[in-house]
Amino acid sequence: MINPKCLLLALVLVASTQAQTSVDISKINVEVSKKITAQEADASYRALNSNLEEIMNGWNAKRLPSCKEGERSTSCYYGRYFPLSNISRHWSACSQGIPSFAWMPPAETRGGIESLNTWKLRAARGEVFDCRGPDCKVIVHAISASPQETVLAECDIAKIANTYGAPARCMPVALITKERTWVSVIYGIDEVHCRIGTPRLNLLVVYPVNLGPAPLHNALLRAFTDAPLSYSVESSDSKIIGTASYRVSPVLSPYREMVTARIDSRHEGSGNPGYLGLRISIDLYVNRYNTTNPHDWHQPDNQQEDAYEAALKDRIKSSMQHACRKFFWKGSSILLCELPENTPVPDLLGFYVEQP
Amino acid sequence: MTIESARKWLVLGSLIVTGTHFIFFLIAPAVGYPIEYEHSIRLLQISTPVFLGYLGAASRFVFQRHKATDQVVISNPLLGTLIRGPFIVFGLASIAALCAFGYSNRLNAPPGVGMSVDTLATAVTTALGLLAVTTNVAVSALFGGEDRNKEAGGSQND
Repeated sequence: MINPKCLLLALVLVASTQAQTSVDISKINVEVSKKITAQEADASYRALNSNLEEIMNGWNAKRLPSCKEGERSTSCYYGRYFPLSNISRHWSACSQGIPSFAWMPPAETRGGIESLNTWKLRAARGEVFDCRGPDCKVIVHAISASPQETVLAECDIAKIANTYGAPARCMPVALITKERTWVSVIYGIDEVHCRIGTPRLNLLVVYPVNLGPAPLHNALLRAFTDAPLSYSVESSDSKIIGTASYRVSPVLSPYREMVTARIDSRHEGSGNPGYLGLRISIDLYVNRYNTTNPHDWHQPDNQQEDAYEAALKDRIKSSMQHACRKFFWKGSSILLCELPENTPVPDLLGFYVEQP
Repeated sequence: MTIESARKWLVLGSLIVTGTHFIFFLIAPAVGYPIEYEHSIRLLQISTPVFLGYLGAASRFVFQRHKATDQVVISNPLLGTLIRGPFIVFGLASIAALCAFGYSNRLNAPPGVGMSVDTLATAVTTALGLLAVTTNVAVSALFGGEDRNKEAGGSQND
């Protein structure tokens, strides 16, 4: 016979444990844009081995120098060394070049086994690393093509106080099956040219130099901190990052959201008028249920993504307008702040915000 | 409980459960209950086939040509409990599971404590298993009587 007091105590304990359960980043299971399967990894390994000579001849034909380990310069090749990919070192600004990736068994790569063990540990603990201000890295489990395959991915993640944003720009770094394990490697870095274009969410504010960018920056901050967005915010002169985790989305309710919204800004105030270019990006995961189950968290569909972007842009535009006593919109992306409506705006299609 | 009323119970119970499940799982996502249509239909797919099977057996029993169907005699006093009980338990378990699911996934619930769709599906399946394990026997005895009567010589007594 179960003692009713014991049963009650057990129920209270279970309830209190549930109430104290905090959000665990290790439970996130992300979608990666480029999925990898064991067959593809194997094919990549074989192709690299069989074409190694040709690849190296290609690098040599381009007269590219050999990369030193950990080097960040452009246009070099690693030859036979195949250091492990380490996105935090190589996958950043485009001026540093685009690495060429392949898949290899960890034992055949330099430091592969040690790195793999570290990744596994980080994924299990859900700990962030390589933090530069609010910008951190995290190793998470990625949705694999088959239940027999485990994929680890390295993602960017924003951490502000104890609030995490959504993992973003995830790249698979390891693929583990019962039989074999693969890790992502870099075998060269190609020089690339930054694309100059208009990102999907781009705003340009034209303002008289005597106004200065500070009121506009404050308006951007208010757009993020005030309702309805109410993000946790971290900002510097050139960027504002807002995050929210596991809350009911103010835009996509009743869906819950895990989001990082980021505004990168570039200010040119040397002439009159001054220009403030803003690039707004969003990394968003949604869940219809109040669960931490990785499979319930997914990327928004196109309609949700459009709705979120529109809401964010409206909020930012509205907030920017309030920073100006008088304003005019030229199209939907250029705001003339305290300037006459006929203020000429030069061809600014090439205006873009450089990646920090 | 008479044989006739047991049959009525099974038919009515199956109709009510099937009907309420259809109505609930089709309407709930549209009126704000925290479930997506994709999952709602999945739960409907789990719960309804059992009851549709019972209704199919009852229909065949009613419309087939037979003479000896009413020769089934079951006089055990547990008959009523075994017919009604599983339906009542299934109904209560379904209501409890759906209430818990809805409550734990409400908008102002603490983050991360919601019941998952998989857990809800497990609860419905378990309740359905309890119902099926007892009711399947009753349905085969009450609605599949002709064949068994032929085999057993025309009647069956408990």
